[in-house]
Amino acid sequence: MAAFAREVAYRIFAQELRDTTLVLERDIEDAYAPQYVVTPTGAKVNRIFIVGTLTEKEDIGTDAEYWRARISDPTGTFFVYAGQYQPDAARVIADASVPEFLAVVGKVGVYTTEDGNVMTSIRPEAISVVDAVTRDRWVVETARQTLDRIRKLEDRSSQNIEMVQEHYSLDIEQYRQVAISALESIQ
Amino acid sequence: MITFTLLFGYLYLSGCSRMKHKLDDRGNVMIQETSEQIRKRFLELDVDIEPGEIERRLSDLIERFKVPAQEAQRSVVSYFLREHKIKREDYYGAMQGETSSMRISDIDQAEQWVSLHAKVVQLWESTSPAIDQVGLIGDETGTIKFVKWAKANLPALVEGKSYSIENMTTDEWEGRFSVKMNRTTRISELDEEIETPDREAQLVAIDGINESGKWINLRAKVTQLWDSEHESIDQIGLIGDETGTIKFVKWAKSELPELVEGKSYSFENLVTDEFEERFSVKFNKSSSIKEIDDDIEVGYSTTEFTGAMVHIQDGSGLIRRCPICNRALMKGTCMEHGNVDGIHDLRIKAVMDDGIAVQEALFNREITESIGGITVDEAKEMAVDALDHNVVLDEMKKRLLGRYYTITGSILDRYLLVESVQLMGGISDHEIESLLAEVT
Repeated sequence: MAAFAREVAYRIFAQELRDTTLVLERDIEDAYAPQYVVTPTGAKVNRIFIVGTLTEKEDIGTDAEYWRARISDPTGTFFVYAGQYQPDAARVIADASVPEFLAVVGKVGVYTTEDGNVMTSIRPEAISVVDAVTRDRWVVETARQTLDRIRKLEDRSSQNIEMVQEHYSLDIEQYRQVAISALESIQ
Repeated sequence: MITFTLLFGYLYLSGCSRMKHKLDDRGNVMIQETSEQIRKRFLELDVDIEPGEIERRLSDLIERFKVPAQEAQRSVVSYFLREHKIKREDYYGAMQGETSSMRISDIDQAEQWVSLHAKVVQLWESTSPAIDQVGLIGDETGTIKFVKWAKANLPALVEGKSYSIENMTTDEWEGRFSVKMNRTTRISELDEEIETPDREAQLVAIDGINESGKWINLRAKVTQLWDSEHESIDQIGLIGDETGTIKFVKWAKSELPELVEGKSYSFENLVTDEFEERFSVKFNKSSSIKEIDDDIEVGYSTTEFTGAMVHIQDGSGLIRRCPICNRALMKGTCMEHGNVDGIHDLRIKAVMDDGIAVQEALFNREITESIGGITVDEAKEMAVDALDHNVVLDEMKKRLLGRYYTITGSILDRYLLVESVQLMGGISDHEIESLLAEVT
């Protein structure tokens, strides 16, 4: 029997996560079945790890605190929402100053707007304040893993190639350019 | 019975595939056939059951509750047996034509009725008055454990003799199969001798252990003895040779001499086991232990992992341990020794993640103090000041989560036992340039 395996935290740039619109249907029989999205470069993601800069934070809660944080990497912006069910993460956002480097581990959340647009966000499990060294390492690691995924799509060894081709009509080359400019930005 | 079960198993598995619609029809056919089979068997026992009733119960279990077909069949039969006060063995026992004569290596399912031609390879000491005889029987294809119940009232089996043994049930425990001889089992001695494979254990190196259920000999040193967590286990720990270390379990029942940490031994007739892709060796009654004069140099296979610390598990930070057994206390209580005055310790159980794989890691006090920058004494003060020992864990999370580390150590079950750890420094321009050079 397969043992419980923790979901790997994928490394995805903000632009790629923003472009992500393929949401896999959950197994309705299993209340604990994880929610996955498939990104344009073919990563099947439930958990994500990002390091970026807190650019804006706002308590948008009415009764209880509910924080929305904008965290940016060299390619775009992640939206992180933390409320009463993520008390530790909400506390870190509340105490953090803008701008500051934050590392976030969390689950990718998806929301479909009335006109059918899929919006992605991150529901944090842990947030910590980090430094530029950690940010740089994350950018290099994320660039390398993005380029690897592109390579696997190109040589057709990606496990999710069919889903990607069926769903996305995007030019894969642009994500190579995203990775390159991200790398160049921290040189 | 066997072919029927296999076909049914196939359908159950296929039912999960995308061709669901088509298979549902075939599933219905199977339900009808199974129900017909059950009805016929009950008719032979002078019980007439409404076929729709059997079908309804079967399909409810299979389709609504998603019970595997075989389990559903078993459950439905049990229900009607109870309903009509029929003994299990009367239902199953008389299905003589149905039990198949098979080879030991064919046994791959529990709760099957089987007949074997086999030789008694070993008799072990019975551990329970309910068990008349227990041991190993073998044929050309392998060996299997057997249990002969005292209630079964069967003739005594003699080691080395070959028998035709009809109507046994198969059983499974932790992936290993056995056969049980019950009241309906028939035993008759065979004239010809059944050949059994050479079970002679080979001397192997620890890093060569890659299969469970193998009989092996080892020359190894006891490197760690752990606290036994169960009374059936006499000793448990690690043994190592030049190629690596492996977990061992020595059962209390095996009545073997006491192993001493740091001493080297020649071990014979151990059985390998596997759990979650990690191997271990088990001592049993036929194992032997002989101390040797050589001091075996143990080669520790170390693993390195670089990644971000993405989670710190419960039970990390400032903890208290039982002064008697050293186990971590749960809510101030030792599971073994009850309420004790615990000794403070620091540790971190973390999840490291490199975007490709996760690795759980255990940081002991020394390592925790060095990366967390908090000593046990400081941690105690923090806890006293805050009236809450969780402040230490919170502070650790703040200092460590989201950072990249390279850890090295040996792997034990799920955890990498960290022997050294390094916070990853800055990225060199060279690293970025060479990555860029690959793609531009």
